[in-house]
Amino acid sequence: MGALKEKDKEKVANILKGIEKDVKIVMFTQEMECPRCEMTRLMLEEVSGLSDKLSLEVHDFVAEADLAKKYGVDKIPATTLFGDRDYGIRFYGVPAGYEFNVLIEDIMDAGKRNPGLSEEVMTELAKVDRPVHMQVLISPT
Amino acid sequence: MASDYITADMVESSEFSFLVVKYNVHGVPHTVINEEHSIVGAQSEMEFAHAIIKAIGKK
Amino acid sequence: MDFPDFSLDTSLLQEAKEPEPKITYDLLILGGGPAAMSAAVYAARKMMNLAIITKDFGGQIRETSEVENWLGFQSINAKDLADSFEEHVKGFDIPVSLGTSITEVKKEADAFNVLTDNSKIYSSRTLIIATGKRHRPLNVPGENELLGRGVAYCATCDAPFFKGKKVVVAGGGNSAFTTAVDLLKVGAEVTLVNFIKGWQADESLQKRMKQADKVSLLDYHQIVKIEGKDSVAGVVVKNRENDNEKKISANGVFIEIGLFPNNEPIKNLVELNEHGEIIVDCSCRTSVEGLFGAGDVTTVPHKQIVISAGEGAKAALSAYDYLINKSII
Repeated sequence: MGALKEKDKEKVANILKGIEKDVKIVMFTQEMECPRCEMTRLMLEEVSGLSDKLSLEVHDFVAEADLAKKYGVDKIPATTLFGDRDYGIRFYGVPAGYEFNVLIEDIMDAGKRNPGLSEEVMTELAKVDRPVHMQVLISPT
Repeated sequence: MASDYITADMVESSEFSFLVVKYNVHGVPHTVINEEHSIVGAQSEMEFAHAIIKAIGKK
Repeated sequence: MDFPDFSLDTSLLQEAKEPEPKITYDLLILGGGPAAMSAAVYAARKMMNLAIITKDFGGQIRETSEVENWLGFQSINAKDLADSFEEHVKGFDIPVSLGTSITEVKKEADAFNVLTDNSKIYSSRTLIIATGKRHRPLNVPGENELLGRGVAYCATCDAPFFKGKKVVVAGGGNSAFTTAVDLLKVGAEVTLVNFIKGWQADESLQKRMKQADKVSLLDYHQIVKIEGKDSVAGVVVKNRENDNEKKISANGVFIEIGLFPNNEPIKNLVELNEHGEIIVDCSCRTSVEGLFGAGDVTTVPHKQIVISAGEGAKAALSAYDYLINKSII
C-alpha cells in the first residue's frame, strides 16, 4: 500500500488538475533515511506523480550540505515549494494529517503564483523591508 | 509568498521537540517571528500581518 | 510501512469566493460554528443572496475530541462532525470572508453595515449574529503574560504538552472535569480548583475523578495569582473558608470557568442580558428589526450543538420571512 489511500489519491489528483503553472517540490532527506524522511519522500513521490505540472527533486541534507545551507534548510525532512522562485515555504517534519491539506493548498497557490491574500493584507505586508522568519509550531492532528 | 523577505516554516512539534523547549511552547499553533516574538493560537490573516510589522519594529 | 494520515479534506480546499463590498446582500451571517453553518444551509435553500463572515469554520466543536449524542450518533469524532458541517455549507457556493474578524456592525437606514478588520465594509438587509462564545478568563495576574506558556483554555489542543507534568485546572463543571480526564490520559498530575463550594460536573465525571490517582480536589478556593517568569511555575490559591493562601507548584493552568459571548461588534446595537448574551425571542429576533441571533451568543437556554443548529435554521427562516413581509424578496 502506498502513502496515500486510493480514494485520497483520486481526490488529490482531482484537485491538482486545477494547477495553473508548473510547481517544483524540493525535498531534503539523507542517505541513511530515518523513517519520517522515508515516509515524506514516498508521499511526495506519489503526489508529484499525480500531475504533470508537479515535479519532485530530492536532495541529500548531508551530501549536499551547501545546497541545504543555500536554502536555509536546517532540519529534515524538509519540503519546499518553487513556482517562479523559492517562496520561502518550508515544511519541517512529515506533512501528515491537517498539514497535508496545507501542503496541497500551498502547491495550488504556488501554481497560481499568488498566495490568495486580501489586498489590505498585501498592502500591510508590503511594509516589510527586512528578513522575517516565521516558524509555526504545529501538532500532528 | 507575499513578500520575498518572508520565509515561513511549518514545524511538526513532536518531531522537533528541541524547538518546543527553546520557544517555551505549551500550546499549538505557536508562531515565532524572528526567533523572538511569539503569537499563540490561530489568528486572522490581518492579525498575523500586524504581528509581523510589529516584530520588525514598524507601524 | 505504517504511514501516518495523508488524507485530503476536500472541503478545506474548496475556495469560496469573497463577498462583494459593493452589493447589498439579503443576509449576512456572522460566525462559523454550527448555528452559523445551519443558518447558511437554510438561507441558501431559500435562494437568498447571502454571504458569511467568519474567522474560521467549526466553532467550539473544534475544541473537543468527541461529541456525544448528536442526533443519529451515540458518539462521533468532533473533527469529523465539524468537517462534515463545513463540507455541507461549502456545497452551496456561498461567498465567505474567511480569516477575518468583525470590528463593528452599524445600522443604516435600510441596511446593516459590517466592518471587518481588513477594512472592508459589507452591507446587508438582514443579519444573523452567530458568533458564539469564547473562554472566560480568570482575570488574575500572570494569566495574560503566561498565555501559551502554561496557561491554556483548550485541553484537546494542548494537553499533550503536559505529559507527566503537574497541572492546575480552574473550574468545577463538566468542562473542568473533562479537561482533567484528558490530562490524566497523558500522565499529568491534576489539581482541580473550584471557586464555589462542591462540584458541579455530572455525577459520573465526579465519581471518576474522586477515584482517580494523581487527582487533588480543592473546592471553595480562589486562584489569586499565576506565577512564573517564562512559563508557569505555579499558582497561589486562597482558601475562601479561612483566607489562608498557599502555593501549588504546577507547569500549567487550564482555565475552564465558563464562556463569554462574542458580542463586541453588536453590543451597542442590541439588547443584551446581564451575561452579555443577545436577547432573542423564539423566532431568533433581537431588539433590532432585521437583526437575528442564533446559538451560544444568544439567550437560548442550554448551549448544545443540536440546539445551535436548530436556532441557526430558525434564524435564517425568520430573516427570509422578514424580507418576504417587507416585499424585498
